[in-house]
Amino acid sequence: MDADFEKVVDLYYAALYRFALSLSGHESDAADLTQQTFYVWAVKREQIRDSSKVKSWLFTTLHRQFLQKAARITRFPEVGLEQSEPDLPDVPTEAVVRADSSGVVEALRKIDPAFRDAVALFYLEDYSYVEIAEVLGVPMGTVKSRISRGIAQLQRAMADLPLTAKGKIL
Amino acid sequence: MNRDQAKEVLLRFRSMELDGSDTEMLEALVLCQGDAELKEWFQQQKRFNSSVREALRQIAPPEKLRDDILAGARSKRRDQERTALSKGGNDTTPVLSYSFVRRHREFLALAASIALLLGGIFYWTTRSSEDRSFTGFENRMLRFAIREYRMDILTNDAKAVRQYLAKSGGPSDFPLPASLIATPVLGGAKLSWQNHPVAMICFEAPGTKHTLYLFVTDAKAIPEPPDPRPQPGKFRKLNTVKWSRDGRAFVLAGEVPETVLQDLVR
Repeated sequence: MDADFEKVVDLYYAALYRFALSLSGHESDAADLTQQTFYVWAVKREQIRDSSKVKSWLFTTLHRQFLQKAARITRFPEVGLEQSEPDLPDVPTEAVVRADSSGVVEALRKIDPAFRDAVALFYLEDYSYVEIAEVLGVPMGTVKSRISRGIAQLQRAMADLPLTAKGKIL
Repeated sequence: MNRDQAKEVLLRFRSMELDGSDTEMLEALVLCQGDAELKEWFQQQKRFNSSVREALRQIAPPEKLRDDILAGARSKRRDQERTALSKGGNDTTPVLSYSFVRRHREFLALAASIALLLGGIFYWTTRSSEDRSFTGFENRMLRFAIREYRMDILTNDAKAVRQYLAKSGGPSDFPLPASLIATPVLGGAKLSWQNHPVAMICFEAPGTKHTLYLFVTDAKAIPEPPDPRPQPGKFRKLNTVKWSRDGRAFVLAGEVPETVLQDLVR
């Protein structure tokens, strides 16, 4: 395989794997998704002329692969700012704050699938909301709403985790 | 903007560099400055986000993943190049020319018809010889689980899965053991076997990250359904247990110890 392809793999495979793991929650599924994304890249890369678009193309493709694999996702109604629920999280406890990787991945699996991809990109990459919206193929307002609601659910999910998954309490 | 609205926006704060141009965020930050309780809450939220971000970014991919990607991509690329060559280029493999097709049009049409007819006969004979016993049903469902399973609905809400199954014409009102009811649901799908509807519900196996597959169909649809008493079995890498109850036949399978399945169906 040529040097350019290897360079792209080296630059992005770890970040893509982390995104895939955040979506799927399973290491083997995450590895499959990451490999599949690069296989598609291997076939279609000549179509991407602008090298600055490669990263978002890879993330978009991986996300699409995940959705295809998952077939259909139950849609949740969008909640606008003016309809926000009164149960926004209290101050997170130290146990929730000091989380380890496996605990966070486990908690991500428990939040609504419709919010998970936006929350994962929010934490994993320093993408703007516009970039996240492009990867996910949804409007920017939807991205913001999903991130806020998803983080609130993530905190509740992490508060329910067993102690060892959360990490030490100071 | 009130305090609750500000909290919803502040939940997703990352840095001024990323969020400095977001007018909603700026408004929420201004509100925060004048509200000591909100400010304290915001500081904790920032610590939470920072902790989660750090935890996720520390995840290391499997050691072999990079090599597997490169090896697989090389293979895909070779396949692509082979396909491109066969469509024209320097390859000397003979290809059907347009003039050949035109001259032998009638012969080729007859050959295609015979091929279709033989294919249809083959399909119907193999279909009619498929094992229609419960073992046949079980093996077909478990092959699906191993090779190609997909869920039509992804949700942790067991009620939503049953509602989906009911709407899709699949079994939905079947009883389950209490331990299985308490097991987290991942989603489900409506399948079909020999024109009989089948429900599939996926669960998260307790204490592991493996998926459990439950298949449910009408016991009258299959000759010799299983006993009411759960019977263990094995299919390739899956341990299984099957039973009948209230006119339904069940198969539960997963890459978990047999004792885990037995505990779930007790």
